[in-house]
Amino acid sequence: MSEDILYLSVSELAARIKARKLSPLELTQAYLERSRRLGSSLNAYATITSDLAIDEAKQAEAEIRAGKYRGPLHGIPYAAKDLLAVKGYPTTWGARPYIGQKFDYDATVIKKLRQAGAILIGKAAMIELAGGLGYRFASASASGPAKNPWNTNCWTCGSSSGSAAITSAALAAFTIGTETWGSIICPSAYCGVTGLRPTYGRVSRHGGMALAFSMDKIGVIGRTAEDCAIVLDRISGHDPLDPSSVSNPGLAGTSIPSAKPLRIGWLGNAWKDVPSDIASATNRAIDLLKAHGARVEEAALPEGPWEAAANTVISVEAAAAFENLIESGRVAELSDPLGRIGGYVNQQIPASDYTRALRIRSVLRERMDKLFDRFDVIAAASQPNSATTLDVNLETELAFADPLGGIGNLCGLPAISIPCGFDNRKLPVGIQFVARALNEDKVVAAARLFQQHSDWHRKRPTVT
Amino acid sequence: MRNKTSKDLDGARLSRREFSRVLATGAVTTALARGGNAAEHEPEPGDSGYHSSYQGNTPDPSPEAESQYKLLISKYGARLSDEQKADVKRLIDQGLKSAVTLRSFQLDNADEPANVFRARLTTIDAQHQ
Repeated sequence: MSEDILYLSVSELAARIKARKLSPLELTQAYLERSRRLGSSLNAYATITSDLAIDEAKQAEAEIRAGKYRGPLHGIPYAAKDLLAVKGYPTTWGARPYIGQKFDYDATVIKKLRQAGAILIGKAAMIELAGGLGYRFASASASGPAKNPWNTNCWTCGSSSGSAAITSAALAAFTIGTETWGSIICPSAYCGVTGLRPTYGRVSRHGGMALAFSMDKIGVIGRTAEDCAIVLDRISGHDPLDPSSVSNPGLAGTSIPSAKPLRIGWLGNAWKDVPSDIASATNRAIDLLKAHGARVEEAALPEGPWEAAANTVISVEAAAAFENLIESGRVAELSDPLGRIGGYVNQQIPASDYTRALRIRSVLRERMDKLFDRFDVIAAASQPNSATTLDVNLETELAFADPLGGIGNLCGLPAISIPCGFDNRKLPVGIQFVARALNEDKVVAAARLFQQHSDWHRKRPTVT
Repeated sequence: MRNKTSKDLDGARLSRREFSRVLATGAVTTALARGGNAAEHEPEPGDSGYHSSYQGNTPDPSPEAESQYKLLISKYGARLSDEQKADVKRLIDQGLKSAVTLRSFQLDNADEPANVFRARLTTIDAQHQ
């Protein structure tokens, strides 16, 4: 099967499958073959679920042939981050202490995708424990450092490392990732794909590894905003097994372009400094949006200790979530030197600081809500850099503040990152849109508007 | 979580000690944005959003750091190498620098935590409420 087919969007694949011009079984076999051939060189997979995939593909093929078409994910192969339980298969959380871990149930998101007819072809590699106890190196994964399909000397970013690499290299049609802080937006930007971080609670966390109970979010990494909306529509909704999950108000609008001009607030203070080549790409993206009807005005994030608050919440909740691992001493088996001690340190944070962080979160939520009275979305470069090399010591060589990431995740706001150009090193550059809680339709609308009038999302890396 | 992987410019770069804490918690400390145009910054007198007089209530980080370190070592010290112990000390110190910013933010009595407790019988019952 040609690479052109494997790089089609979900909506394009779905149209062919529905019309019976494309066999789900042949499509699955092609993605599996490509995953086996290229996946290991990218360290993209924890597990390839070939037998399960073939069984599901045969079932999809038979159903569609019998006229039982379930919808746009029917017969579409995908991969899920290896922190989501899949019955009978290893779920390693990317970490050596959990290499043999198996669950006897499926995560809710896996169940929902199965009900939609999607085909699971593998578990995507990830940073160990999704970075919950800290890490210094790209190699902080039981699968080794995930390599960027655009340049295999570069990293994918984390923690949804394999998810972004798999989508970028067309090893599957889309992937499921998670974000607590940056783990969908950053890998999507580095790998030149579209990543949607839903509102906290939009997608059930049941069956997913807990890192920070009040900040973990399950999202989609795909080729287009439309694809992400299609997948989100199928995986979202209330789940009695996840008390934080919400029903679906507003989600129906994700694929319907609004007649009103989109109001975009361009953030001047999202990053302290953005290199000129990245700024040029994002400025051109904003100009394109303006040219197609968007109203763009300068905006500014409120000032306050939001990152410190987000940091505190994550640190304390991670120390609680991984308490057994920390207490047992098996953190010593983690790959990264920082991960081996981070949990001990995080346990020392006083309860008063954690409570204070949660109170600050309430104040911030109100301030951000006021900002969204003026704007449908706020926008900034997804990252102030492109992919870093694999050997970088993240602790000593590179650092930057990320108030938008801190705010967006502390408040559980939806965001999307889409590719909008390349930097001087020919690596992808992304622009992100963030909206009020439960306003995924707004971030998708902004991304769709851009993608309807550009082709950055159709650029492909040369992967051999 | 991703780690932060970009150079910080204009002299506001995180020190090694500061960024250690960042990575331990997976996020960036507030010290970074001081003097920059990023949204987050340390409290300054008269700065809206901060209660300047509250700074007097901020504990001296040194005794608190020492206390935290001793507690950690009493529980886990046998598992840690000297190098790890030095790292731990550094991370605690940096964490408390971030805590100074957190503790300096003005909150009123009625500012409740974002995670509000709701009494109910079981999770399953909640879906019918």
